[in-house]
Amino acid sequence: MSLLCTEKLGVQIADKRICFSLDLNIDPGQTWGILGCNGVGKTTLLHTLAGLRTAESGAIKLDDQPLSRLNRRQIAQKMGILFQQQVDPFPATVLESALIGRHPFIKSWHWESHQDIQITTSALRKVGLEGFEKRLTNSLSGGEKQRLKLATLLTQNPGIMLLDEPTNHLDLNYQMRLLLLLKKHSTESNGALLMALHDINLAVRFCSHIMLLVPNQEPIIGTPEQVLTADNLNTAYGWPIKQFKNDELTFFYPR
Amino acid sequence: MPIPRSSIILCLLFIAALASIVLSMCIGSFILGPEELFQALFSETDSLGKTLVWQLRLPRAITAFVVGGMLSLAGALMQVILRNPLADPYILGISGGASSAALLAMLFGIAGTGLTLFAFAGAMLSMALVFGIARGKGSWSPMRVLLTGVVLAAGWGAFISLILAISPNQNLRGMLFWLMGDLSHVQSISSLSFVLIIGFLFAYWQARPLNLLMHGSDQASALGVSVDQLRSLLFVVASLLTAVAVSLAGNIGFVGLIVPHLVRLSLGSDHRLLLPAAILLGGTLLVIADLMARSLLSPMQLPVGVITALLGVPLFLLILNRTQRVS
Repeated sequence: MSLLCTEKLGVQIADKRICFSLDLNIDPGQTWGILGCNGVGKTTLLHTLAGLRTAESGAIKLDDQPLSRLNRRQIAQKMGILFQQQVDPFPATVLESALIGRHPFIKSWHWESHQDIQITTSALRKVGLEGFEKRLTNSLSGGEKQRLKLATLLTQNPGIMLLDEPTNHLDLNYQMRLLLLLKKHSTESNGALLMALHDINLAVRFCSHIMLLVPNQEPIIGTPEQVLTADNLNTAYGWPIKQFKNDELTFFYPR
Repeated sequence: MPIPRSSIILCLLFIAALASIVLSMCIGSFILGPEELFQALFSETDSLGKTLVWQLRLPRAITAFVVGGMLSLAGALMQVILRNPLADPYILGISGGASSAALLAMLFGIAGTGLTLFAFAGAMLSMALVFGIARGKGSWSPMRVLLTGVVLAAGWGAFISLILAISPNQNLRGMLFWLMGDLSHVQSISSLSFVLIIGFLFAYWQARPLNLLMHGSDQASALGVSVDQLRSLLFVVASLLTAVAVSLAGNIGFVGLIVPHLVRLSLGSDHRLLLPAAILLGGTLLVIADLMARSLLSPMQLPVGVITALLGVPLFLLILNRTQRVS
């Protein structure tokens, strides 16, 4: 059974078609990378899958149930999303901000329990924000804010994680550490990751499946070997991209 | 969560509120000592003190408290729903509509309950206009509501100036007082308190979702909040609170803008603490402001809105300055 699947999904923003009839099956244990040039619709597609905007046609199913028939709370218990941008006009503490990830699991009129706080502090520890609990969010650096958002997602701990450029603002160390952490977490919990990335090499390294968005075409879907050919990448990015390969790794670089 | 800490803070604020009400029962043209106040409150025999306390000072103090609480609650809600720290209960032009209708009523010599009803009708008209126009084809986006409200408020402002310009001199003083906020002729305390309690219950029920909304509407919906419903519900709650407060007590400024920020700066932004604390603090502040308004230059009464501004501005700047230094 797929965790998340789409049937003949059509997504459009303004006059731009992102997909006409997309059939997608995301199974437990898979890691999907969404690649494509700026403005091709990666974020829009992720938001549509998260149920934050309605699709033009077709259906999205979460655990075999149509997304349109679930309420926001039911969706949030199974699927979470890391947003690319975020602004906070009202500063809150780091702990408070990460704690909102527990919201879908706490009843109305109830307060967070000690267990909720433990889950949250352990998520903060995993992203290297231990000791930051009482800091105000507006005093964090860009990378620390990004890690806080990841901690919020880990606190929510959904089966399916949609990640919009998770490596934004992160240094090399944290890019690797956090992607490894997310991958390990989702494999162990039989979940799935779907992430929009700009770095083809990271995608090759971490993803079992790739969806390459090409302007005015249906997305190209498959394993990295099938999708990431010189031809496909040239069409998608409009720039010649070379592949370098040896026994251990495949490496892409722009000409 | 820190339930004990927040309970202590709420208790302290509650005691402060009680103290301010007791103080305003004692002080006036005729000062009552603690013993006299006790007698006036609880003895069976009629006395000047008894009439003074039960019929004049206590009702007025409670009115001030409830109006202050309503404006602070409405302000706190508007700020988070519009995601704009500059928002206050009047930002959407609700008070402009109420004021225009009230001045129009005064121009035609309507007073008392008629005036209140006129003001309320004006507030409702303004609310309907904002939400009708801002809705457009899609859902209410905070930015659209904000812009619509601000433009309507500017329009009402011009209309108010027009009425003031064409009014005969003998009406002007009353009108200016109304515009600056005046608690001297509020009557329906029980219905006023009822509105505040209902408004608070609705808002408190949604306090945790509001904590999420602070992080943006997309983040909130991704974590299970029905953002459109939450916004619509609380827009209506905040608007009704404002409409009731303004139509009864006129334009009392600054409370609704400053009190939520004072609470945020000193207690943080958890709405489960912020909302009740804002009501208690806003109520207390307005009781004290009203006490000053009627006793500073007694027997002359000052408009309470002027006092709230004169008190609120330095207080706010002081706390803002302090918290900056700490962080």
